[in-house]
Amino acid sequence: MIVQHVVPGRSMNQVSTSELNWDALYADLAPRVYNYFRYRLGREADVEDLTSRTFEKAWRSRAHYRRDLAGFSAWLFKIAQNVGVDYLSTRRSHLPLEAAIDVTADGTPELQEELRSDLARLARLTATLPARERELIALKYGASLTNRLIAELTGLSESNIGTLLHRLVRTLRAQWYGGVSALDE
Amino acid sequence: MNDDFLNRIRKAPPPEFLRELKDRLDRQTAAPVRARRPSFIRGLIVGLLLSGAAFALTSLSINGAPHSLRAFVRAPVELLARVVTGGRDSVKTEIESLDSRKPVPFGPAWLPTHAAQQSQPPASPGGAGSDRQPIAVPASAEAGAQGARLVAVPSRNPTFTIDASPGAYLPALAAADRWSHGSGSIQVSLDTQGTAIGRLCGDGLPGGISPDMVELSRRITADEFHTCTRNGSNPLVEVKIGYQAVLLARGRLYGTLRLSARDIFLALAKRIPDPGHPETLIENPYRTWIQIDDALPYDHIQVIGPAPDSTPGKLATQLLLEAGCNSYPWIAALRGHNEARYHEICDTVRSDGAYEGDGATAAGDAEYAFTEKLVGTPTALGILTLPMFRDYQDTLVLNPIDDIEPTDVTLADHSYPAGRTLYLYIQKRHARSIVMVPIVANGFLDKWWLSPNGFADWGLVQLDETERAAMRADLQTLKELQF
Repeated sequence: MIVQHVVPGRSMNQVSTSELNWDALYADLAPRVYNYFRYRLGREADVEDLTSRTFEKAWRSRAHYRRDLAGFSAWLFKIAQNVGVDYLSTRRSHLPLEAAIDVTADGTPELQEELRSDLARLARLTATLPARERELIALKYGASLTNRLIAELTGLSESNIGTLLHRLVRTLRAQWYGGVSALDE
Repeated sequence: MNDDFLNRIRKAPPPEFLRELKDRLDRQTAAPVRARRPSFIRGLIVGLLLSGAAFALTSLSINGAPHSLRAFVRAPVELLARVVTGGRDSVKTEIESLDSRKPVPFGPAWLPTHAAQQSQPPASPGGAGSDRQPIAVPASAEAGAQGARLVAVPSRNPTFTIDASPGAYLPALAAADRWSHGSGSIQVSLDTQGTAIGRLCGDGLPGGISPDMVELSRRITADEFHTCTRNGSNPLVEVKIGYQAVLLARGRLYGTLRLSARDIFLALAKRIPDPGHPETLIENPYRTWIQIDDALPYDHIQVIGPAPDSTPGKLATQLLLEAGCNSYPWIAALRGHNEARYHEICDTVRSDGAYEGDGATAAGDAEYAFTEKLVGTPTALGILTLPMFRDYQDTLVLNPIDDIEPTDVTLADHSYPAGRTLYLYIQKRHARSIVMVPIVANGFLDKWWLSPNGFADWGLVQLDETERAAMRADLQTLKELQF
């Protein structure tokens, strides 16, 4: 957890903003945020843009970071969630984002390759899931967050998250392996 | 949980992207923090603090220091309570028996003008703490009638206290944690002797400590109630707050076993009554169900539940074993006079492998593994909570006990053997005079205590909406308990 290697021996709640090692935070959190958007959108396009927007917002406002309210990573992912929601609502007025992955037509070779990727496969499997479930998958497997942090971000209980994720993974795994029973895996 | 297929989709961001973004961030100047303008709320808070400080200083200058810091801290709460109740009820009942003409002072209890100070009782040999404020109450109904003989008792504890029976201890801890915000201002005492109701009613005075609230995993008995009444206790208010229940389940493929509560006790208890001499205990010799009852199959006894030394494990074994244990009258009778012996016999689970303590107590991977084990093991019975079973009823089948399944109805009418009801008892006087009492009591009816909080909610079943509304109404009106 980032807290330990930012200021060893002290919890994030005790760290003042000026003491935070922003370079270490960036190195730890940038790949998480990047993958959060990949899993959430189910595509590579726009992920870098959204990651940049998230960090730029956070860095610009980091002096306002309320260390007494939440850990920095929770704060950053709350920003990322908002950035993602804004993006999705904008896109949806033009084209459902989840449907975008199914639009093949005259795509570039990169797009064709992307459509064949595991990420695209995941996007197809999760396309019919409610937004909350897709968000959980993105937070858990994209951002590699703990259930506790996810609970903080989603307002669900930790145990509820555990159960939801468990069912989701079981369903997705069965679909992923083409109907092979989860027990056989 | 095999989720490699999800993990392997993750990839590292392109290094050039990370570099460029970092450069941009490094060039970005952070927005300055604007100085906050004083808000109305802040002004109000400052005003309240200043007036509170002024009040405290004035009190100190007039009356001198309170006899303890705790008493000093409690004073504003008491004052608030008196404002709310108009100073009528908090001490009225006690004072009336002393002298109904004497006015009740409108100030904190530690102020020298407090009515309780008017009769300085001798120090109690029981050693009531110096920070406990004596008040005058009738020692008994007879004494109350005479209106003369008074004993010194602690008015209330310096902190808000809940006495809880062992089965109700966890929910009480959760409540304390919730309402004290970790400050320790709510203290939960484990009542292993079964004397909590006695203390609530003022038994064992002087020197005893009367809790503000008692939480039991059983209902108050008629004897206890009448003892309270005889001792001149203030009326009690009873709040039913929910149930504790566990159930047995098997893989759906294997069907159910027709088990009685006694069968379960004989299968799982460490020591059981000798079939030839039921008043003698022997080490549990049973290995298969058919040894217990010819009608049961020739299957190994294999029950999987929470680790027996864990809190859920203790709760599960209590709930599952005690019903069967009570079917032996001589053991059930122990409860009245040798509680420790009773629990030793009824709550000690065997450790020879028939009971496996690797059941799951929280949602997630362990729970899934546990249910998969049940699905894959024909002879295994699992101990689950109701919510857990509901999550897996597509693969598991509920095993009734005494042909009864746990439902809202069978829990409410106490017919389901592996369930029991949790009750809260408060003194009506406390509910009126101590601000926290109705707050905490109402809190027990909220949904919060069924949210995960360690193991606090393991096995808990909340009342349905109708019952909760009824309980809230009883609390609102402080309906007196009657037998």
